[in-house]
Amino acid sequence: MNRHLISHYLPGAIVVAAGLAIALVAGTYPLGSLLRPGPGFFPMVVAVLLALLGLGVLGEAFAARRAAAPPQQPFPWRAVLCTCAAVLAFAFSVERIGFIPAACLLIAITAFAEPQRSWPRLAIVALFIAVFGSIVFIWGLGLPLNTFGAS
Amino acid sequence: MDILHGIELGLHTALTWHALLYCLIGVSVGTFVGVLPGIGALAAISLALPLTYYLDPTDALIMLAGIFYGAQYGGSTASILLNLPGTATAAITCLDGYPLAQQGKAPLAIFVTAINSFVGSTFAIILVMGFAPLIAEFALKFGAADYFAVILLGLVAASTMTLGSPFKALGMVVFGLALGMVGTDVNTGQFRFTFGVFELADGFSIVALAMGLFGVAEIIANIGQPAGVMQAVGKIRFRDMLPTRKEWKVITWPTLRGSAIGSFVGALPGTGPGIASLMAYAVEKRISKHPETFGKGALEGISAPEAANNASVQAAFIPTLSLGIPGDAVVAVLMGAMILHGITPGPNLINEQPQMFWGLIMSFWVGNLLLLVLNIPLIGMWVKLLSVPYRMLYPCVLIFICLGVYSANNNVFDIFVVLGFGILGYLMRRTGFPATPVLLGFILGPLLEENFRRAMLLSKGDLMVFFESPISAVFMGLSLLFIASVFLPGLRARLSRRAPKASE
Repeated sequence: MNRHLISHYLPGAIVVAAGLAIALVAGTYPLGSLLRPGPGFFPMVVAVLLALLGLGVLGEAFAARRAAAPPQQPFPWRAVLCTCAAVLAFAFSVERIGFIPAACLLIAITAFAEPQRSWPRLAIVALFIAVFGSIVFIWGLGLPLNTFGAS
Repeated sequence: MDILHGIELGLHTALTWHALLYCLIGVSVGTFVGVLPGIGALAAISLALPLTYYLDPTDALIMLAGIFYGAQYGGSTASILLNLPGTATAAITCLDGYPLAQQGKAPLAIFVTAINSFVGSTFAIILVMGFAPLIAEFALKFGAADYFAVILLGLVAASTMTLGSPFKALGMVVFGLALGMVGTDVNTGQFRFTFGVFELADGFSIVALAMGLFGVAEIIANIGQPAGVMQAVGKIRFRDMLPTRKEWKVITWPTLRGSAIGSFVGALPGTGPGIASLMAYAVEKRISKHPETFGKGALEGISAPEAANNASVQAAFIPTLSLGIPGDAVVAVLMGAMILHGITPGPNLINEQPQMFWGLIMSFWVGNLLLLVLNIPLIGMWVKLLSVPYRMLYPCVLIFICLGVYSANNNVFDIFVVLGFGILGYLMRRTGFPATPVLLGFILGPLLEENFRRAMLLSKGDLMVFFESPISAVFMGLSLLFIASVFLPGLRARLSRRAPKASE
């Protein structure tokens, strides 16, 4: 099976797999009966439906196998990875080094998702965030975060 | 309570200085996010939601609703000037709006869309005032089985009235139902799908889910992409905006037809402005005497869909306020906001909280008048905003998203959740799985399950109960009809041929 075929059928296969996985977990909860449905009853119905609809998606993919695939843009690894890294860096650092340093970290990392960067412009963004974010979220809403330093 | 009394009460609420202030903030923010491509009303409402915890619930709702309908006004500006929809629902406005801008008629197009938006909203608000109380009164008679059936209808309608694959849309509703089950089972206290993660005992936070699927996914899709080319407009003078008498004539009927279509589609539970504007465009093109002008700058081509999307967002409040069933994903988040504020949307709302219900509706009038001012005399300000490189906004939005989800529980865990759903949302968007049904399923899932279990207890486990009560039988029948329409290939083929461009 070549790469194209895999990516053609993968979405449907994942939906089916998700349905089966949910069914496996739902099976460990008491099912109950129609008269008195238990906590596992509804999840089981949902899981089976999901798996069936996944089969439908697979069927559609099969029916459209000869149709010309729409031109797909290359996967934007850079955008995805930069966004992940930026958000994770913010999440791990915000309670340790404070809001403003963590925000600067996030801004700097997302900048690498763009083909070119203008650091002065990013400095303006950082300044705006530092002032606006501190006033609204920390001072106004009283989030338990510090502008600088561990909270 | 009769309507006149309600109007009076509503005006008392909506015209207090704080209600006016929050209404103004709401519609301004709405126009702002509507004008800017890449941030929609949903992300804006999810962001503003934590900010409203400290407000009076009525003011909070007035502001959040203002963001919602304000965004529909702003959305067309970017469609006309950039050929890039400011909100997903304004995609159809690009088809004729951008050609108009190329012909140097951008001011006219902007003026016309503002007027269309106003007429569409007005039309639908009147319907909300007339119908929501009636439907709510009727809904007081609903039993558990009836509620189950009407929620099911909302979910089915939302997933079958989309343009993409019905299997994918239905699959995503079911996936949303599954996400809604995570947490503690209310009836038995059993932990479900928490996998020992303590933070999941209360389930996923709706803010994290919505901001991930829509906000973060949108950022991933746009970051690092080349920016659009803006059509130069120069200075917008009021004189250039005014349509001639002939142009007024051209837009009158399409606007009214668009309003009617939008109101109808919006009032159906589960179907939103995207499908409404698409249908209005298709109808207009079909009945036009000059269908060949569509796509080349026909005024009818912007009038009908713009009226329709505004009408549909206002009409979406009919099922939300009268039945507690959101008419659209954005209203679903609004409903989440009501629940967070301790208000149960549903048929009792009008009787128990009349000042909130009527205050909200009267604030729609205030908000739409404010929007008319914001979008005609002050339009130059928004146009300038578009020339700011909006990629500077992405890091800001990302930070606000992180802070917004963090503020819900003061817990970093929700930031991981929002990132996870962001990546999932982006992958879904790439593979043609719609995200809106996930959100509807997530919000309605617990209600669906609860009513199902209650109906089963009351009927002693007889599944036929859903077809025995006349109300629920009608809703079940409609659901079956929607599902059947998906599997009648001729109908769908016709629908997709008429619709030139997918919007949601």
